[in-house]
Amino acid sequence: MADNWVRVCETSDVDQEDVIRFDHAESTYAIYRSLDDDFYATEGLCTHEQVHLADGFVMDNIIECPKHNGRFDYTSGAAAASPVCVNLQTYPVKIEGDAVYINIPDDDAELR
Amino acid sequence: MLNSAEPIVIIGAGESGTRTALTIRQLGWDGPLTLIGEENTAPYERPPLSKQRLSSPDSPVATITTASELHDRRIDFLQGRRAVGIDRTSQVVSLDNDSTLPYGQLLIATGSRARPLPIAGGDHAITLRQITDIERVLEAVRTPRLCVIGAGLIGLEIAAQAWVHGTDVIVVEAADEVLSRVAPPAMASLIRHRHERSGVSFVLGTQAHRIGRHNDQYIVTLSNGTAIECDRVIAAIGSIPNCELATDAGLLVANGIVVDDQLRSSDPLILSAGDCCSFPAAGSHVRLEAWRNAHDQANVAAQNLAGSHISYVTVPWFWSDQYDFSVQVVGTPSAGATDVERHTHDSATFVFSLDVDGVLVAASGLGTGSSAAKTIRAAQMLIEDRCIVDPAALADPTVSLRAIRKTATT
Repeated sequence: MADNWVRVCETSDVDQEDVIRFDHAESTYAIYRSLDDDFYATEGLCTHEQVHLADGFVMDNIIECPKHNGRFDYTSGAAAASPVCVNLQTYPVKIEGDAVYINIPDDDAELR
Repeated sequence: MLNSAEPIVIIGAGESGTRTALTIRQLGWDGPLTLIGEENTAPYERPPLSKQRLSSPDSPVATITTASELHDRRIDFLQGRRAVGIDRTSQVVSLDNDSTLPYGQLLIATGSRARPLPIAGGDHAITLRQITDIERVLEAVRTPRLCVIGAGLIGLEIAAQAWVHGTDVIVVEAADEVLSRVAPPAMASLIRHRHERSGVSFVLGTQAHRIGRHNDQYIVTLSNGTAIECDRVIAAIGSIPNCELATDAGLLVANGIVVDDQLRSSDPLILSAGDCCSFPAAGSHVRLEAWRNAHDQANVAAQNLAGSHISYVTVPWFWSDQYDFSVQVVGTPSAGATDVERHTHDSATFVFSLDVDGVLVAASGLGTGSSAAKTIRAAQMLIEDRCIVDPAALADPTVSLRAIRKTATT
């Protein structure tokens, strides 16, 4: 599948140990910045009840859903605590200069 | 881990009972495990019943798990079965089909039921607790004129959903403000104003005295003599814990099945979790009616049933969705607390309560969608750590609570 790098934001738009929302082509994504200044991206909605994860709380490599406290490892997408049991889709991230890009497959909007 | 040959029986297939069963298996406990659910359906989540389920009746039921998943995990799910007795001497539970189930350990997670309206004609009022109540409530929120008795979370959620259907709503509340049991006055009045802007009317500080019926209309007479004509009446005045099984079995019961910090009742082989149990917190015993509590107690109950000795420690937390906003409340306000307000640029509002020593003890936040969640989650951590927090920093929306937490003292 062809790469489809999409510019998301400036690195300074995301605080350390925090997450922001990014909407693109009718899909929504969550962009994370770890304590070590590494960036990650996952699909934007919790797999439990479709709540925006960008409103959730980041602790180490964990994102906690703002509604039911379900947890995922945002670096791998793995479900980490109930009530969530379905993993998150993750997306490759690259930094060029001060800009953050994520690689969204062309047909991703249709999957979401 | 405990002897796996001794069966574990769970009475109640709501959030607590079902989550306990699933977690016991995740922990690797492989003995006989039975989950008894008196509702004739797979285990489901109750919070949506007073929220999206009323505005989008065709939305799918949010299930906790399925019968086939329970089967795959060798959890014997007795759907539509009711436990009618517990014999603690022989360690058996009797069921409504005259059969009995032996137990090594038992979890009572029977939840609570809607409190009936204790006035003349009170049985005319509809209540909401389970999925079988939905049809009647849906019909009520779509009538031209609805009277809701009780301005707690459920009453206000129902009022907000009735507004979606264009219904005229009047809410009657005995206390002088809405949400008086759960939110600080500043937050409660903000929420009431939001309802009033949508056209919902409130009669506060007034009790419903009597409900009369004329054809398909109702007249709610109030303690001040006023009469409200309406097409349906919904009562949302709290819940009563389902403790009858425990009482009949001789367990200690006082506004809930009394349990210790490990959720064990006065019989150490019997645990209790969720809305039906009264557990130690902040120097007394409390009973919470909240999804989060039911979910978190299940995790502790499962571990202790599997042989651990873990204490349940919590800072109460709950949320409510009304209109386009969500409110989250965490902690327990103490007497003599000072309230500090924070207003953010995206029009979220927070109220923080500091006790006489300056320790953060409670916080509530209201914002569009879940926009208040991050701050409330950080506040929960500050409350858990009993941090002394600078009121000026709490009031300043440019200072994140994460930053406050890094510099806070205990």
